[in-house]
Amino acid sequence: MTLNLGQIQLYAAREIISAGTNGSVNYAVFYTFPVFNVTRISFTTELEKQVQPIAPSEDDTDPAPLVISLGIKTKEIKSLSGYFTGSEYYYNTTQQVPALDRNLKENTILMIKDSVSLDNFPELEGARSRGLWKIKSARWTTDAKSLLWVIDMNLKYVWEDPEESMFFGGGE
Amino acid sequence: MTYGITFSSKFPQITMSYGGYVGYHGINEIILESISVNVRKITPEKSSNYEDVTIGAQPFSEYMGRSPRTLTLSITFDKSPKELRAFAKTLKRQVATVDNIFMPGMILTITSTILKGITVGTIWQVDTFTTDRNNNRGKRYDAELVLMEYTP
Repeated sequence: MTLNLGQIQLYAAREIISAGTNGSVNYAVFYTFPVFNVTRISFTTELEKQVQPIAPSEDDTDPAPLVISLGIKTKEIKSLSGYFTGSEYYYNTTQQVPALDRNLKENTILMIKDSVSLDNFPELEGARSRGLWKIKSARWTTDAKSLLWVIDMNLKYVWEDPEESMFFGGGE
Repeated sequence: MTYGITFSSKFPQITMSYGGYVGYHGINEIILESISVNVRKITPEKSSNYEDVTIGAQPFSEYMGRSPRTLTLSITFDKSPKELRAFAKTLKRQVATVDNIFMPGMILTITSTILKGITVGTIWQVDTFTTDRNNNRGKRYDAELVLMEYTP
């Protein structure tokens, strides 16, 4: 039996930009995955910066380069690994790579909700009650022992809330 | 066994006034709280910037000065997910979530440590913060913090 860190509920969604004047974006769920058992989660945030070299001075000191911070470059789940619960997601010869290939497409938006609660995954918590992530890459392998399709995804965060994306505060 | 580092933390805020003059670029530093972490591994790194130019069979590299020195810390939070979430909520942040415990751009000053090779009083800016958990390590939070040297 494979142990897991907890279970989450994933939904595949697509963006729908409303025809109204405000151009707001909504998300329509088109597929509900079986429960996902998480075995690894790695989350990362990175600074966007510009490095300006500074020429060494005459007294042979070694000045530090000038680093200009520009904001957050990346907020992503580097790795979300695990397996789905359900016989469809076990390997068999007649049904290779089942619904995964159809529904885990590149750039699909995944809505993450916990089937029980989000208590086990504070990494997924944002200002919103639901997490929205875009698939950057997804790969799956069959675990020879358990015959399970083990999925490893790299997900980009979908920025939605201006307050959340605010990095440096406003000026005087 | 783990060893700790305590940081005092600040956050830069860009303003449009400097030295009393409006319209000049200035930076306010917002003082945040002290944070202590357990450190498992420390990796200081020095590197250079080179621009490679291709000229037929004899390319050359132009030295573009040194890159900022970095300090990579492998850290552990001895907290359960619930405790870590509760801890994040105590932080002075606009959005107080686990990923914002160390926000990219944050300025950290080392205020105390017994670790060799780490100088108390040095100032660093957060470049990357990565948390990593898997089922082999139970519910433990491992994280990697990449810090860049910071010149005020």
